[in-house]
Amino acid sequence: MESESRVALTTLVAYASPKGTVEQATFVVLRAPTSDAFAPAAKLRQMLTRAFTSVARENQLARARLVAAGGEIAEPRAEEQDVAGEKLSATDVISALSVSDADLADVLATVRVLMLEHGVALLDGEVKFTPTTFSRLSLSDFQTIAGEYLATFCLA
Amino acid sequence: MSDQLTDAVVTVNDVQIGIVPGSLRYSEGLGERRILPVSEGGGRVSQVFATNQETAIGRVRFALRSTPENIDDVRQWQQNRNRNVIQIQSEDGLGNRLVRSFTQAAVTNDPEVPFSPDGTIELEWGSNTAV
Repeated sequence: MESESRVALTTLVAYASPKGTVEQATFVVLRAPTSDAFAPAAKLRQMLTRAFTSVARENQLARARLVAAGGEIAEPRAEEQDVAGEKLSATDVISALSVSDADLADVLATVRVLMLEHGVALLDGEVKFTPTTFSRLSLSDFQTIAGEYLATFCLA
Repeated sequence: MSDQLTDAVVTVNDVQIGIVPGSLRYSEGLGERRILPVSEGGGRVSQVFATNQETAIGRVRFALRSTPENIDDVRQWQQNRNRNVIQIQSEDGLGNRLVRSFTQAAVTNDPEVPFSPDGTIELEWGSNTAV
């Protein structure tokens, strides 16, 4: 498992730097959770596992129905087979959760807890999020951060 | 026409804090000014405008309740020396907003911590000119 990951922000976030100035954060560094965060981390892992298991099951059922109806299933191309084992992108993770049985709002709320209470995300790699700076984060950037966190630390 | 501002959201280092109502006040830090007369002769007097740079320091004052969390926060702000950031945001009933940021802020007094039912911790800050 990687120990850190970096996400570029599309909307800059103003924050109070340790130097006593106001800076505009351009990126967020994500860190692996420590044992203190076992509860929310375990909750996310379980939600993701169940979500991806249900998605895989639905895909299998869909393939079986297609075959039963006389249809053909195209074999994956060589470049698609090479994808197996590679890390999913943040967008892929959020998209997969969106079509699964998982409560996406609950997943995002748990990521928020990790960011605010366990310091897993750092603005410009140096300052932890507070409720004030979190409210300045755009929804799009938050979802990207959540997806990257899940792909890097929960699915690895 | 605007309404009188009577309360504000105050954050110190991006953490919102609860202050004693009516205790917040600030100075922009643009400095005291003087108008100096200049005689041009013939009864004519013009003026020279002067800013006292010695007073061009932002000032913020507010009071906190004597809770363990507030006491620890005050101690941390003092230990940060002049590396704090204060932001004040206020809005009147008509939606007119006021936002001011005070960078490189330092607690300039030595606050007393009272142990009484109505005691408050009085804080005075100095900072760069407000933006």
